Amino acid sequence: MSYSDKVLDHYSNPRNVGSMDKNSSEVGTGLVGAPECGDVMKLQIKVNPQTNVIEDAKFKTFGCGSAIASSSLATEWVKGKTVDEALQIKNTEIVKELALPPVKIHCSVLAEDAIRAAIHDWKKKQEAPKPVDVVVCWPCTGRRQTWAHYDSCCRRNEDRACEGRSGHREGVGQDSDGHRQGRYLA
Amino acid sequence: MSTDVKTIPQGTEARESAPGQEKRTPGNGIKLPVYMDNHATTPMDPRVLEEMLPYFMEKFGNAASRNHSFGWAGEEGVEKARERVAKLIGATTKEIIFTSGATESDNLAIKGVAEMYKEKGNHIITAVTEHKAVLDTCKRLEKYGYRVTYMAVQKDGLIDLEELKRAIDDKTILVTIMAANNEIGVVQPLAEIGKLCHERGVIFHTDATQAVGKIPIDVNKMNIDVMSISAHKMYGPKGVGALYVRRKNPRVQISAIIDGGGHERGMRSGTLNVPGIVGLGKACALCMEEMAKESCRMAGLRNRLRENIMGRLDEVYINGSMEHRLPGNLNISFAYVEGESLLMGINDVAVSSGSACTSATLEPSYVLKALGTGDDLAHSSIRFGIGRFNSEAEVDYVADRVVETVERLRELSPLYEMAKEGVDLKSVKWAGEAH
Repeated sequence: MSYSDKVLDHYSNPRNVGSMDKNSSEVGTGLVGAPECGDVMKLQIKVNPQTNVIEDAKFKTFGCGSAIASSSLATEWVKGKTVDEALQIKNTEIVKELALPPVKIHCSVLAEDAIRAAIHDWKKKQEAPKPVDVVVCWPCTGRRQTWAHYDSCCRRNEDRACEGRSGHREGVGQDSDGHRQGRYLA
Repeated sequence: MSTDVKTIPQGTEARESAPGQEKRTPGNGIKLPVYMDNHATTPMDPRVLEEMLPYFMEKFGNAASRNHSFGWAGEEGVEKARERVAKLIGATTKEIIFTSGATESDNLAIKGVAEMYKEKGNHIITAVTEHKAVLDTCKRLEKYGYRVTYMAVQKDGLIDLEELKRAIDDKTILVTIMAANNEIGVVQPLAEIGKLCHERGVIFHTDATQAVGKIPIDVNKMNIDVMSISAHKMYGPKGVGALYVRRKNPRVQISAIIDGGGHERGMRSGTLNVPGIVGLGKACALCMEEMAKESCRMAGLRNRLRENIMGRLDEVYINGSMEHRLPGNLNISFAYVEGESLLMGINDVAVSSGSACTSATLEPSYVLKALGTGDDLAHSSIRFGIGRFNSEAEVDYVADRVVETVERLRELSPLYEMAKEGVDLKSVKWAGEAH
């Protein structure tokens, strides 16, 4: 089995090798494969939160030349696409571009999985509940309220009990005006 | 006899250099690509070729043609070769049969003994690290109702003699254990195994393909009853081998597996490959003369390669016993780097790998698995086979190429990154682990 020129090129000059900060909310990290199988790909994307466009991508791969080439190509292709467009990338396109022989098709499948895993990870981060500014205001409604309510209702009472913070204050008690300090949403 | 590992293709594209390097034309007379895969096959020694040539066009007779000088000339060439093969292993000429190679010899030995001694018993013992020519033959015999014990090996690749003792029972007719392993080069304690088998009245066959010509083999001192030999592993031609079958103490008989005329004492029919056999004979004669000096030189080169690589890289592991090993073999796992990608990076060096990606079945090396090497390290292994025509300069060049490629690939490796961050890779739940 000989290697196609494109595979050799990606192997010798891999694009976008490196790592991003996996804790950043703009970064999605996909880690697929297993060392026992001889293939592990880590693919990371940096997504613009306003436009959902993948602005940067990085990869690292433990695997054969075809695996390295497939993941390198994947980082090239996702850059500039929106996450939804990137989800359309099919392994068969990678096979065609790199002229992978049948015995190496699984490398392209893993690269497609890596893209999906990275996007999935990024999406999960976007859905995570953002810290909400709330206030607990018992006398008024007995429920969590927004800052707007606090501004219009409770603050006039100049009561610290209703001071809302983004989810970090905890405690129960009652002040003289009947306002209670409550648990705040995280 | 083929192995499950492959070498990278040779050709003009092999000259492409890795990034950041000028096109390489190393000094010291090294010719690229460097061949260091002598366990897969060996280049023919020019003296062997010279010996063979007359038998193609001048002395071309069929060695079985008894009635004319063409046949006699062929026969003479064959008999001279037979003597040379016998001399190398301490046998007599009547005990040597010529075959098409060690795979056929293994088949003939195992099936031939099984068939001939089937009234005596139906149990065969072998080891999990044997070559496929032995393992697949045993599997076929299992289909015919024979019982086969596949013994495990210890971490260093050696057979446990106590376990072998326990495995032999009153139905055992054959023990087949290879002399030296083709992947890890580990040499088994043949004399002890042979002694044990003789005590128990069991026939001992050894596939000595990788060992004959490289380390001293004496069928009498080692109590070997049947032995497979291959020409192309000792600088001879491909397509020819031999089988030693003991005639005395005890006399061993085998059933033929190829019928058609009764050549080779009825054990292997078919017109003899006269030029090939002559080549095998010459290869054996050369090994006989040069073995002592050559094995010393091979060991020196191998140790030089090992020290060079291990002195410059961390987390590299030798597979198999270093003490009981063929002088020219080195099998190393480079953690966090996959074997085929390493081969691709050292594309001007011909070696092979135990990685799944290099085998047709996508299974990693079963030999390394049998040692208890994890699959990840099996995927990261490279086998170096140093031979007669390798030089010190080539060894140094190969070491350089391996070290620089491993370093580059480790930069690309997520596993190396994780290990450097202190992650225990064994505790990670991998996405692809399901299978």
